Formats: sequence, structure tokens, C-alpha cells
Amino acid sequence: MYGRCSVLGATLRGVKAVPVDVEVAVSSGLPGFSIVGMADASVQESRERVRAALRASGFQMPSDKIVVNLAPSSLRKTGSGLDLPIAVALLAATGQIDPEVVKDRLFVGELSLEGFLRPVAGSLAFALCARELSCSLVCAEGSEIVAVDGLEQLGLRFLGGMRQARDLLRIVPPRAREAAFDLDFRDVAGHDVAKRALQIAAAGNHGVLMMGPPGSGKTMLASRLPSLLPPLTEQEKLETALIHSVAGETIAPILSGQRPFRKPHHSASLAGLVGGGSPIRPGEISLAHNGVLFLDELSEFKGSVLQGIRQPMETGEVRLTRADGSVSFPARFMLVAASNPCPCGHLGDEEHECTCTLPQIRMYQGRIGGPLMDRIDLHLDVQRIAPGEVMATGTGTSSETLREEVLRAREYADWRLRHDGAAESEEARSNRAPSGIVKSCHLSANDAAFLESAAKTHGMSGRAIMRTLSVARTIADMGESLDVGKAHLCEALGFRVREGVGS
Amino acid sequence: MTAREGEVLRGPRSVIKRGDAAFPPLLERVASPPKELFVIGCPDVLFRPALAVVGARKATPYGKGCARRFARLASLRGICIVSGGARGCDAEAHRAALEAGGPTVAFLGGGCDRVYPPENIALFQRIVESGGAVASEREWGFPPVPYAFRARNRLIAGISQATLIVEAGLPSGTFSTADEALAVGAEVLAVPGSITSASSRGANRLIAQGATPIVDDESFLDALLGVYGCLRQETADAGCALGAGESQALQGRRPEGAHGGPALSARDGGAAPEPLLAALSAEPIGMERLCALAETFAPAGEDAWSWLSVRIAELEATGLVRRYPDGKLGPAVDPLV
Repeated sequence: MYGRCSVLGATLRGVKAVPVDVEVAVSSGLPGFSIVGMADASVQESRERVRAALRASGFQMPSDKIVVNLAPSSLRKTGSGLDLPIAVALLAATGQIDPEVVKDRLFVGELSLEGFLRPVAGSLAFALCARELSCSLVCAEGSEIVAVDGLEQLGLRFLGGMRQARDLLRIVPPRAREAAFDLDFRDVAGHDVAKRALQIAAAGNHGVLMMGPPGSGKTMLASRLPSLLPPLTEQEKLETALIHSVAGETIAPILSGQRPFRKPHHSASLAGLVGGGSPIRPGEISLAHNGVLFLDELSEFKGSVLQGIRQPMETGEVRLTRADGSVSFPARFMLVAASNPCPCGHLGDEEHECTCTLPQIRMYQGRIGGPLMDRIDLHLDVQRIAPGEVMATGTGTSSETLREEVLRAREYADWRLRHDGAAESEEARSNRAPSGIVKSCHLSANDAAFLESAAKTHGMSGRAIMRTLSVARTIADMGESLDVGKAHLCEALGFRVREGVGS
Repeated sequence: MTAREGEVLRGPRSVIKRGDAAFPPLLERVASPPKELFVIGCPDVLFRPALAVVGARKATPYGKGCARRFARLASLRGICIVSGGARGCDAEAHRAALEAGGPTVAFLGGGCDRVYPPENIALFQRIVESGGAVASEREWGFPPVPYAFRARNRLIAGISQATLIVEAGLPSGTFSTADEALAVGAEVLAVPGSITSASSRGANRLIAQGATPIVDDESFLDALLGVYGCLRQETADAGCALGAGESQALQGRRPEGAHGGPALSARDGGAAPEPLLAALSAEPIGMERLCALAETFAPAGEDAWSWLSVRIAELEATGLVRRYPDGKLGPAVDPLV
């Protein structure tokens, strides 16, 4: 049973699948099974799975010298997805299946000892890789499948199915359903000011800090924020689903257009938040790409961790550099943070007495956010609502109504930018460049003087003034007004980050 | 902010034994009078007519503003301001007296070399340097233990002819000072607050029990007249040192643009204050509730929410209203700063 064959597999690197040629040579020599070509432990283990799966599926495991070479050999290969290509190459090399059926096909899948196939993380990345190579993809039948234009995706349930490999079943990806949000603002009674603030934030992509006693509804409000954002575009769907697929998370809600909402716990490590590990996995900020990152208990996060997400927030991607090269993950998200107002949490709570001293409160509030504070434009105080209002759940303004205004404001902002002849850059879109903000506001002399005096009273820094102006610009966009008026300015001032918070 | 390790107050030190001529006679009337008084600064100020100004440590801007306002008014009339040197209202009263150039005395719970709270050491040093005194019945190095603070309240109340409670919860140390004042037969004055505000419950209760309510500058000056016999006309003399706007305010007229305390301007008798300002003056209110109030307050035909944002921004800019650390908006009673 001597012979050789080469089959196409792939391994993940970042969010990309890199094609790997799996070459198998069965020759005379001491019986053995070895894998060469920078295979990591998970790939080395596949020898045992392949051996067992082959026998269980009624194939013969050759008792000769078997060498598997994974090319290019300079690339570190990882993951159990190479089980299937190794097994298939072995079968083709020994003539147990027709060598023709492996042509122009990319195989990905993990084998069980009984010969069944298990799906692996990153099926979308593999699909895109297969399309690039213009082959069809063969994967486990249970994989999460995304419709990719111009790609034939074939499902395999168990290894024995390779006997009739010519007529493998084509799997049809389920049609993505329209976005239906489980969490709607309608369920939130009261909190009208908070809803307004989140609406502004959604319209202008502003970072929000919510402060309020425990149980006042910060998490409830934040988790409904994705329902205010416009549904994902096709391009965004693919980008976001790719990251989630690589991380092994479910992608169905994303394909239906829902923006991701990520809520890492405050004990999260730097690697967990920005990505890392070996093999490199996307972090929470990348999983929140095109969606919302919610940092609850912001003051409990480690300063070094927050410092780590600051730079990716500016560039919209995170580039992780390791000894064997760098990988970059996209990370463009909306930041929502929440914090208690004081160490005991009950400052401003009508039902509990706060037991903190003023210096404690000052120190606590000053520590909130740390390096992230200059990414936060809106400050929102969330108050516990009266029990009577809580019972009125289901009567609040619905997400749909709120979203319509957000969409209109975004459309208006796009029009205004074109009208002003501003570059359609991301920077201009998010109202970030200082000169651009001031120009786009068209403040009257009176209003400018009013802002100046308010800034003086509140001791606002230059950056704080810019952030207020940028929020005012968004509020004016919601009112479809070309100029920022006094009402817009005052509302923005009401949502300013209070002096003494985070500094 | 905090005192460096080993930092002590500088200034002349004296130990006054009970029975000495230098022992303030008013302290003879308190329950178990101290055997000795340990004083840093000028011991003579202990003989001056004194007003105790006490209030909550965790004071609201309202309480602190009142402490500052009335301590200053009394200080301008030559009355010595006595307090406990604690955070919040106490510290504000001392500061106001220092700014008015009057003497002030801080009674500490622990010994004078173990000042508490430590961040106030600079304030105590200023008190000593400006002719006031820092006093205690404990040995110099006595630690600031809780029971000592309760005990020193009787000295604060005892040495003063009258005790002004600017803000007190229920129960509280401040409230116990009022009890001590009643025990020695001193006058008790109290500044009322909103009945819904927990931080004013003690002061309001005192008024119900017969304390003299201090509802504006005028009633305070009347009380001073009753207790110390300072004539109202002295205002004018003391007022020479004040700005023009301020002496006008003291005479009951409200100058344009002056940062008069909204809650205390009832005597203006002029146009009624606008309802939003009146509501905010009564107690701090959160945005959600203000939003509901705006529906009724906003002029017809105007969008309530934008009307509210504009009004709040304007009130904040003029310093009438302030945003508290818990996000609520409330009165910035800070008229004489």
C-alpha cells in the first residue's frame, strides 16, 4: 500500500485561514506515523485520532512508514481541523479512495475516534480561504455555515462517507432571519433621560459613562443599546462574524444583523480583552467589533488593562506582535462604561444611606476610567426609579422609535458632511478632529461666549470643551439643524463628564 | 492633603488648670468640667463671647454654605466662632471666620498633637496663627478615639452662649451637641432644611422642639441681638470691609447678579422665583424627576426637554444651582464666598 498524495487543508492565523498542503507519503521502512512541518501539540495528537477513525470507518491503516508533511513548513500549524485532510490524504495515498475526489477541495474537520466529524472554530475563515483558492470546502455537517458567494460547501458526517466522495451532500446555509432583538427599550419604564443620552451616543458613536447606585438599571440600559444601532451591513456582518467564528462563538445573531454586545467581567486580563494567547485568539474588544463593548464596574478594571484598549480604540484595530510575527484584529466598537458613584455604591440612592466619606467619594470618582476617560463623551447619572414605575414595564418608548431617530440623525450627519465638503474620513464621521468640530458647529458669537463662560464656571479642560461640542453637534444632527444652537449646547453641557470624575 | 508623619501644630502652648484665673468660667457649668485644658494659640479667646457653629461631617453643599454664611456674619460682629474642626460644616465655619478676620476656636476630640482629621492640619495652623486657639481637654498626645469626640461636644456647647446647628441628621453627633447646649441652658439656633432631606431631619426636629429657626440673615441677626446684644447697626461698620454688593445684600436688597442664596431670599419680597429654581432650592433633584417637573414648568409651546437643558445650563453657569457628586442638581448656597 505504498503511495503519496497531497490534500489541501488550512490553519488559522488571526482571523485568516492560511492554506496548508498536507502531503502524505507511505513507504517501506520501520512502521510508524510521524507528522513534520511545525505542527503543534494539537496536530501531533491527530495521529491517534486518525488511526482510530480510519479503523472505525472500515478503512485499513497501513502498517508501513507514514510521513505527513505540512507545507509551508515555516508556518506554525495548530488546531484539530487538520485531522480530516490528514486522514483523507492517507486514504488517497493508499488508494482506498479515488484520488480524483480530493482535487480542488479544501478539507477541514476534527475526527472522533468513531470516525465522525466534529465542527471546528473558524468555519467562516476557512470558507473565505476556500473561495480565494477557488475550491470547494468540505467540512463537518454540523458546522455553522454562512452563505459565501461563489463557494460550494460540502458537508461530511463521518469519514466513511468519503467512499462516495463524488456525491457529497451540498449543505445549504440557513437563510439569515431578520434582526429581532430580545432586549427592547420598551421594557424599560421611566429612565427617559437615560434613553435620550443613549440615543445621542448611538447617533454620534460617543463613548458613554453611566453612574448610579447598584440596581438602578445601568446594565439593563446598556444591554439594550445594540437595538438602537442600525443593523449590520453585509460587509460588517462578514467582518464581525469572521471574528466570532474564529473565536468559536455562535454567529447566528450576527448574521441576522444584530450588533454584538460584549460584557467582559472586570477581572478580565489584558490578553482576554485585547486578544492574545497561543494560538492568538481575538479579545473582547475585537468580539465587540461593529458593536458595543460594555465595561461594568469600570473602576474595578486594572489600569494597565484599560491602558491596553486605549490605543486600539484610536486606530480601530489591534495589532498583536509575537516572536513569530504579528496578527491584527479589527476592533471598532462603541464604548459604554458603568460605575458606582462611591465605594459603597449608595451615593444618591433614596433607599440606602451612603456610608462613604467625601474624600473617599472624591478618590473613587477620580479613579474611574483612568486612561479611558478621554474616550468618553457623555456622562449619564442613572437614578433608581420609583417602584411604581418599575411595574409599568412594557410601556416605555420602544427601541424601534428610538432607532428611527438615530438612523435619521446618522443620515443627516452624512449629508451635512458632504454639504460641508468635509472628507468622508472616519475621523470626520466621529466628530473627532478639533478644528473640524468647531467649524461644523457654526456657533453664533453669543453661544460661543456662553460656552466659554460655562467652561470657566465648571473648570472644563480644552478637551472637555471639544467633547461637549462634538456631543452638541450630534444633538443638532438629531434635530436636523445645520447650526448648533443654544439648546443643543446646553443639552450637551448637561451630559458633560463632571469635573472630578476620572482625573 | 494628609499630614506628614510627625507634623505638629506650631504656636504657644499652655495648660490651664481648673481653678486658675485663665480657666474659662463658662466651662464650669458643663457636666464634669475638664480638670485641665491643653491649648495651642491664644488662651484669651476662650473668654470672648462665642457662637458654636456645628453641622454634619458629611455635609451637603447646602449645609456647608449655611455654615459659611452664618459663621461669617457672626464673625464680622466680633463673635468668636467655636466648632469641632471636623470635616464638612465645622471646617467651613472655621474657614469663614478666618476669612472674615475674626477669632475662632477648634475643640479637638483627641490631643492637640494628634489632630483629626489629619488633612485639616493646615486649617488648624491658620487658626493658631490668626489669633485663635486649638484646644482639648486631653493630653497632647491623646489618640483621636471616638468617645473623646462625643465628650468634647459638651465643651463646644458649654463655652458658647449660643449654638447654631446648620445641618444635622438624626441621630448624629451634631444633635448631641444641641442636647449639651440645652443642658447648660445655652440658646440653640437651627437652620431648617427640606422635610424630605435626611441630612436636615435633626435640625428640623430641634426647631419643632423649640430651637430658634434661622430662616434668613435677618432672623439670624435678630438672634445675635438677643444673645449677644450686638446691634443691627453694627452691620454697617463691619460692612465697610465688604464689597458694595455684599453690604447691599446684608441690608436686605438684592443687587443684580449677586449670587444670593435662592432658598434664603424670601425676604426679597419681589417677584416670586421661577418654579424650577424654587423646586431645586428645596431639595436636590435628579434629572429623571426634573424631566417630569419640566413638563409642568416649561412655557407653553416649548419643548420641555430643551427648555429644561437650557435653564439648567444657565442656572449652573450663574452659580445658583450646582451638580452634586451623585448627579443630582441642587442649590449652591454659597453666597458670601
